[in-house]
Amino acid sequence: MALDGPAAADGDPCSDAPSRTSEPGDRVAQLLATMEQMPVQPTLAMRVLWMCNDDTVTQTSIAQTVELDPVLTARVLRLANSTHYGSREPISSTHRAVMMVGCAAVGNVAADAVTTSVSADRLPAHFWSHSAAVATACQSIADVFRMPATEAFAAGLLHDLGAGVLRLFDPVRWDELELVTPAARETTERRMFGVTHEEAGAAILQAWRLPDIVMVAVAGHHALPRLREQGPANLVLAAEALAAAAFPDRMWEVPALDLKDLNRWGLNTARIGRLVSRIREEAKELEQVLG
Amino acid sequence: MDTTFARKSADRVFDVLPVPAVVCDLGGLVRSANDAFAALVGVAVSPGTHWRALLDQEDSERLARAAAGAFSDDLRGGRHDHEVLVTMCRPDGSVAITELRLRVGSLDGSKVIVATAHPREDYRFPEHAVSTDEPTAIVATVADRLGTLTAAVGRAVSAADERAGVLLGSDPEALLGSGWLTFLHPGDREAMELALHEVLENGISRDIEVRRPAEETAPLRMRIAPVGHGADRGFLATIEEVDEFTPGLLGDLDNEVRTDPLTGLANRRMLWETLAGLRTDDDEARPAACFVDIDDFRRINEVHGRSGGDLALQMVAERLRSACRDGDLICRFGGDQFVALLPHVATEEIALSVGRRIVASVARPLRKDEQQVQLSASVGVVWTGTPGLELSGDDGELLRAADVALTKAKRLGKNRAALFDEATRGENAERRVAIELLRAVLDSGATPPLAVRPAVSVDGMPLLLEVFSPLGSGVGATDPEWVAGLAAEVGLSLPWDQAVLGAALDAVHIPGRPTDLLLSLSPDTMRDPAFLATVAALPTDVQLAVAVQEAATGNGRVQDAVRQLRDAGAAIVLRGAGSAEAGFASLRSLRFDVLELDARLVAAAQLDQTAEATVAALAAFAARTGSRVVAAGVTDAHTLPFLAELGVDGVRGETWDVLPARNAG
Repeated sequence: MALDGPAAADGDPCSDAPSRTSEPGDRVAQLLATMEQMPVQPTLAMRVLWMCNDDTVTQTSIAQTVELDPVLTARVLRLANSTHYGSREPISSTHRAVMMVGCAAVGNVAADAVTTSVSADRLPAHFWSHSAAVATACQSIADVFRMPATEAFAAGLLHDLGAGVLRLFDPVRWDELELVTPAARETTERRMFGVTHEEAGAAILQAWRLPDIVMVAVAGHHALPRLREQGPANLVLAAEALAAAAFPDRMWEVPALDLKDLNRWGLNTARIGRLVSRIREEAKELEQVLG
Repeated sequence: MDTTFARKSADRVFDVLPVPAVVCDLGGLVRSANDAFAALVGVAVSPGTHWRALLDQEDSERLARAAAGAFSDDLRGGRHDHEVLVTMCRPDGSVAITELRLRVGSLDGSKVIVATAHPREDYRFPEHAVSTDEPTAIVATVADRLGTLTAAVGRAVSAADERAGVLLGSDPEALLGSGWLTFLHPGDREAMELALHEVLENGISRDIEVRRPAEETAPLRMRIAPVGHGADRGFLATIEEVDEFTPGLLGDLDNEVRTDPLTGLANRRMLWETLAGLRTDDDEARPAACFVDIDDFRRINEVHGRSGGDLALQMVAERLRSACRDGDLICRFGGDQFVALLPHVATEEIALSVGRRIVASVARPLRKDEQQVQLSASVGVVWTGTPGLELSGDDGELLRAADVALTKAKRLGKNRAALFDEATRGENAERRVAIELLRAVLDSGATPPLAVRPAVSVDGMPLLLEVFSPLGSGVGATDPEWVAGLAAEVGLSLPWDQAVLGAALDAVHIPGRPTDLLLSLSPDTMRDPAFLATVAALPTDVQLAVAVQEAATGNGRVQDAVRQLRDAGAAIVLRGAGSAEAGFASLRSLRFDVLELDARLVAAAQLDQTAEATVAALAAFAARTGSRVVAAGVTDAHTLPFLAELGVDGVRGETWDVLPARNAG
């Protein structure tokens, strides 16, 4: 089913059967509506709720906990970037967002997430752990791609929001993508859903008024890389390659780049080895935090 | 510091130095040559050998002159190298053009020449100070860019030089007495522990590359060598800077990226890369693929926990390896799914036989501790040489065809291999149409079509009316389990079961007249609190019974859900009693209202006395717990007296009657 209604049920995900496309405005509305159901990690959301009701807990700690979950982070950022708070410039730092909206509002977001979201098995496999690994990688190589570390982290954490939304929208079609070659994946996603998961994620972030630099990083994370370019578009691409090296069993899709491709951006083998180790260590710490 | 240990260690440093080095006395007799020197000249150089044996006459004379110059320099207090380029002859006839750098050192109280050998492209040692009163002078001479550390087996550092301190970012004194691993980057400690263990076990040196504690600087290479014997046993490490980790490290990472860490099999990335390079133009042998899915694996995780599930997957992986041939690629595709890619298969029958071999290998019981776990697998097989098979050039087509065949194997009853054919592709398309239909019914709020199947008492009175939705006559969906599977697949079990229940009430319930409905629930619905609310809100003249197949398998979560449903007011029909999976033992912990006997048991009871006795025993058991007993699969009215005599209360058939569609409005 494409985002505007059912596509032809032809039995072959790679056939050239045409699908209808909706008006962009309708599509974004559908994406946003589906995004409302995106599950958060229940343990983590409960923890945030508890922290927000404890006067001894700092906003920094709350922000650090919030940003362990991409969906919760996205919702807090959305709130901070809403016109209600009237920020002059888009906010991508979870810490700034928490400071701006206050603990009570963050607690409300967490409570709402716990009560309204659907079961976690509706997400793509390894959605949370993969997002965390890519976020760590993005932050670690932000300097190479001339991105501020905060925006880089946000881009990594939020890069697969679109995948979560599309799977939530139609899990059967999404799971059929598993049997589509990596090279054909983009066109097949567009044919099935009328939009790729990168475009869906970027559209959501745009609607939520997140910074353009984050949106650009999310929008192109499987595009054919222009390897000499060191801007944000290639940041998530490179980070996915590192995350895949750290956790080859936690990828729901094959990254566009190989590790050796990273040499072209000046990431030598020594640094790649260290980065992979760091991603693994931080993921272990995250697992301990989440019990 | 233990000076004996330190001295032995220093001698050993010489042996294991990565730089070829030889120590000679004034007359040119070799006192000692290290392993690297032996590797350079191609032969172990024994003490007492004259260097003339390694060199031609001209080089030998030049070396003698250089040595004399070094001694002369030493007498004047000089401390610089004397270099000489020589050609050393190896036993195999090859030569090593090498620069020897000579300097005077001290060994056991006498002056010696220490010569280090450097291929022309190798580095130069910088200037350094030489101590002349300890064997460590030799070390200092040849290894000033190397740091050294020694530690007894207890792993506390017993000696460390300044260079080691510089490289490890610490004062050498601060290193003394500290744990061997404490100054390493946390990410390298596990690898180092392994390396130390290997060195100790095998008695040979080992290189390991580690990060500096300060993250962003160049990595270090450590050569760990065993020293001492018995109580004196320990390790010695030389440490040097390297510009980059060796390519081997990235090589390992590259392999890891393509390997499933749990099973050691290839992962999906490797599979796609292999598929892209698969040759399909060889008429003698064509590629084939087996798509393997472990049947009902979720139960293994639920019963044995995640670790038990992981162990089972590892054992399955081992079985797959043994069932396939060298050259086949076996991949863990994800979760409990595997793919075996067979690049060269001569016939369709051979491809299918591999699939069957996989099924048989997985079906052998797994043993974990004292427990025995029984698994089965369904396998979809496709062979690209099958006549009439039209596969597109897309690399994913082979997998999709195998997946279609896997669906066929599942539909045929699991625990089997099935071959892909075009008809199977059609069945798969039917499944997709059915899913679209199911979603369309729910999205539009339309009434799902209904089929009913009554259960009657042995004297002909109605007991229960079972309902399900066959989706539509055009899609051939007449199997409740099949439809339930579709709903679960798209995550719509709860709304679908609620819609069917609502439609059934609309169709058959007349207010004021008691109605007993029976509905088969999916596990997802059973566990959902929203369905409990639905049950609690039913009219008082409606009695809902829910059929439960999985409750007898020892699954605690299902049993909890069943208990809650019963508390909410639903009657529980326990299905499949007396089958191989649901014997007496499984009934003890359950509360139920109707026990439905397995159709095969009921059929067998009419032919053999053991089955007859089982039916009677189950009926007696149900009677003692206040439950009724219904026999499934009864189509012959003549058997009713026989079943009644065994204690059975009612019967049901196998066929469904499709209700006519109700007009809208």
